[in-house]
Amino acid sequence: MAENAYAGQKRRKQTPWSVKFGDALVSRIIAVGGIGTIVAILLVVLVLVGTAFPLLNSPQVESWTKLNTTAYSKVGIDADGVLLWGLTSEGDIEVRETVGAEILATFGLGSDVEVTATYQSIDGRTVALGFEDGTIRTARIEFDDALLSADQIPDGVELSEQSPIAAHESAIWQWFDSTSVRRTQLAEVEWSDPVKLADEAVLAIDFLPDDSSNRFARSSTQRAFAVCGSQAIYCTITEKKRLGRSTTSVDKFECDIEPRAEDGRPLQISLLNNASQAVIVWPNGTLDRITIEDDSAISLVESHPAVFGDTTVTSAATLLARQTILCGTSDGTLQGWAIVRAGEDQQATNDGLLLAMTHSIKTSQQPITSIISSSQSHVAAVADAAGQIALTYVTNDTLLGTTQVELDADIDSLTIGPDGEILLASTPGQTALTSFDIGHPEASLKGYFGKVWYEAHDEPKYIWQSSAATEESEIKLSLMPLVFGTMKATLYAMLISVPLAIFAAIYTSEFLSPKARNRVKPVVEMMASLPSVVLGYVAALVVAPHLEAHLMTVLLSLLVVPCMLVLSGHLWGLLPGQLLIRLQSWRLALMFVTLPVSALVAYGLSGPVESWLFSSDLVGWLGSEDGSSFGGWMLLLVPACALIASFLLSGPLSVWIRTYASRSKPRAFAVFSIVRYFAVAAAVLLIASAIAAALSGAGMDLRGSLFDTYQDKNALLVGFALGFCVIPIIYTIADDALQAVPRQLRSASLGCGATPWQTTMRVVVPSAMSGLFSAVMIGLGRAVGETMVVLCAAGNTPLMEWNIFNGFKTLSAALATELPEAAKGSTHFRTLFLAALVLFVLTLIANTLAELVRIRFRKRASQL
Amino acid sequence: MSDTADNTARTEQQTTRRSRRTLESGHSLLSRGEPQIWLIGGMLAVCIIMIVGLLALILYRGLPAFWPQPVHWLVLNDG
Repeated sequence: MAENAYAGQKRRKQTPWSVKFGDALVSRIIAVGGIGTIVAILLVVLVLVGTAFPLLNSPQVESWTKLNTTAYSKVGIDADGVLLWGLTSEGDIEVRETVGAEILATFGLGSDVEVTATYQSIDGRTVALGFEDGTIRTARIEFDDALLSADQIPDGVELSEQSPIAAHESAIWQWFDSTSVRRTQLAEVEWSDPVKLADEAVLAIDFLPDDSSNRFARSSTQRAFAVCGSQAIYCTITEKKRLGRSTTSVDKFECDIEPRAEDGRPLQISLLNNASQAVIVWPNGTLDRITIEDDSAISLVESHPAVFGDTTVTSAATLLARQTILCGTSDGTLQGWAIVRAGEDQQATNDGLLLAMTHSIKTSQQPITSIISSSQSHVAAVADAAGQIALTYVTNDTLLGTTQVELDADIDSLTIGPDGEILLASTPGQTALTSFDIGHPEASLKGYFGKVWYEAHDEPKYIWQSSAATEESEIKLSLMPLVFGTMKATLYAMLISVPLAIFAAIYTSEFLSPKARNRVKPVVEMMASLPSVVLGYVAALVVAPHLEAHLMTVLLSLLVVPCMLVLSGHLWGLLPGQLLIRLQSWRLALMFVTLPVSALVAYGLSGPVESWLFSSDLVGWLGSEDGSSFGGWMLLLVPACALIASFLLSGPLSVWIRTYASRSKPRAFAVFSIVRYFAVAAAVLLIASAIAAALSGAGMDLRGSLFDTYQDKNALLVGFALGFCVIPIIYTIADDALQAVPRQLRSASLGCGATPWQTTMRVVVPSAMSGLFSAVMIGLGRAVGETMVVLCAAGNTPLMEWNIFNGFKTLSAALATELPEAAKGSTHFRTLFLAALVLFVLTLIANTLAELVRIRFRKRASQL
Repeated sequence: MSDTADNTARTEQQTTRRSRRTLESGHSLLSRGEPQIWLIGGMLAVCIIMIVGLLALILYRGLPAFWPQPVHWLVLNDG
């Protein structure tokens, strides 16, 4: 400014308005940008929480409507809840509307024989009756829905704006929209011809209609299971159609059972596991299991007590997929029993299977009077003697909610409508109905993070299987395999990338000339500009086949490359001092030469090593159970021993080496170092093989844990690809952190006579520790959230094994693959948002920890 | 006598001290940490080879798209 005055210009004392304006404008823009960023992140969290939150909702039950009816043993309702039918004790089916409970139609059985047993399928569409004379009859009960235009309404139907619903003759009429009406009625009930099972009365019956409902099928097979007197009877009713005529054949198999009730009447009998097993539930709490060998014989194989002491079983039902039988006890517990393979320590039955209690839910304090399974999911409604109805999700052992209904007697029959949205509770003279919204029954803490005993599994497991195999099986939404996969990907990626990136950064910053540094750094940073999908794609399509073909070489080079580099360093020390200084600038180039040489060495060694350790077939050895486990231990122990040896040499043994070094000439010491190097290598090999031999001799095998069957998309591949992805980030931040260490620290250290290496390790790295650490943690955050690489290269199988050679599925990959196909608002959809929230929390924890540690390191560095 | 003995001892001490200072011992080689430097330098070399190799691979696989390969013309024995 003084120069301006000298040049004769007046000095401006006021800031011009444009600068002021710009200052104000920019400071506001910056404020808006900064706060906006935080707001945007909070909004993302809000969306995640908002979408996942309805998972917590408990079922919503509307108020109950009570109807006075006659005593029904079985009740059914249509999907809209306008028409219900009841099975009377004579076997007649009465159809009533659900407003005034007037009878609209009655379908008679046309038989005088006394009905002694009734059965209704879970979907409510099949009923079976057992009679006193030992015969059974079945019928399909179908609602007949028709959509008619308004001019087809018959005269008697009075539909108007005020009364949109009317009963006429045997049908319910209701407006569908302004021009059409819907007519709902029960189709004519046709009872099948009686099938004679035994001479004694049928006491309990279970029935499986032919589920392959192909109308062109030549034959159909229906299966029935019944208890008559002291006999259990399994029969198949085969109907063959040929040339318009049908012939029916009945095959019966019996076995004797011991009646465990006074009247000989079981609580429930169920055909389970695709009619290969049957279970009889007795009121005293004994479960009899009968195995059905196809077309040959049935036999009682097991009697298992379900309860102990004074407790009895008061009610029972089959769960949707016919793999679990539900028992309600007199102390208000709902038990789920399934047939599982017997463990080694359990006493096995003849067929190696056992009844096991897979689920137990405490629903109330009162005895359970009735249980029903929903036909849509593994939800069961449970009524107790106090009129409380509990909705449970059996798979996760969750009590979803309860509702109370006041009726004049104990509820003896519960029904859930065909869409799983209407609940009916019946007593001998009353029927109450309500509609309910079950919400998201699969969502529970246990379901997401705990082990769950799914049907057809022998033990509780963590499983992510978001689309069910059949309509009847449950979806499995444990987040643990995904969290595990994320951790596994991160771990292997960090194992590969952190040493590479941090060491490379230290070398770049401390040992490269500024000129070389300015060339090398952009090259490494170019990695970051590569889209991660390219990395994943290259890894999956180009690298994966080669990795499998040269697995031993790759594994060996992980060990050989560092060893060869250290060896070259020792050899470098052999050169005379003058030459060393002259060759200093060629050092990096020589390192580049070392790499292909060590790759060649690894390639050359791979053949002999593979034949020595793995009988020439590493991939085959991994996949098989036989072969010595020695090789696997060597694979783990040699690197581990080498690491321990290098720590020993630089730690406890370094004092001895230093005293030796100060007494010897440089050249002699260099020779000594090389001899020492080979001696240590031999010692490492010897010790590792001794330990490996001992461990494999003791029968321990790493296969099954760390090493197992090789898949071509595996954690090793992901480790390389994901490591590749994170290296540039860690490298850049670490290099900047090292560069930020003040020059004077280095100068002081070098001036005091420390070598560049000593300066680096004792001065620069400790003062840059905060930066190095945050570099690693930011790389970790990137690795946790990385999607495309794992999507391409991880195989996306939600496994939970530490095996390096198999795939996994990460949270981010699950989101990427499944969110587009999840139905909006479904449990699966909301669970994926929960998974996103979990991912967010994981990265948040990593970053927060990083920040805390970084602040501590920085405090220490600022004290320098 | 004692003086001369002292003197000789002192000079001996001085010479050994000087020799230790001037002559490089194995200790200075150890402090230079060449093997460790080679290790970390090698990691940088690995990084550079990874990125250059990947770029080379992509170019090698991608660029031939611009120079279409000749269509293979097969002539069967019977024409």
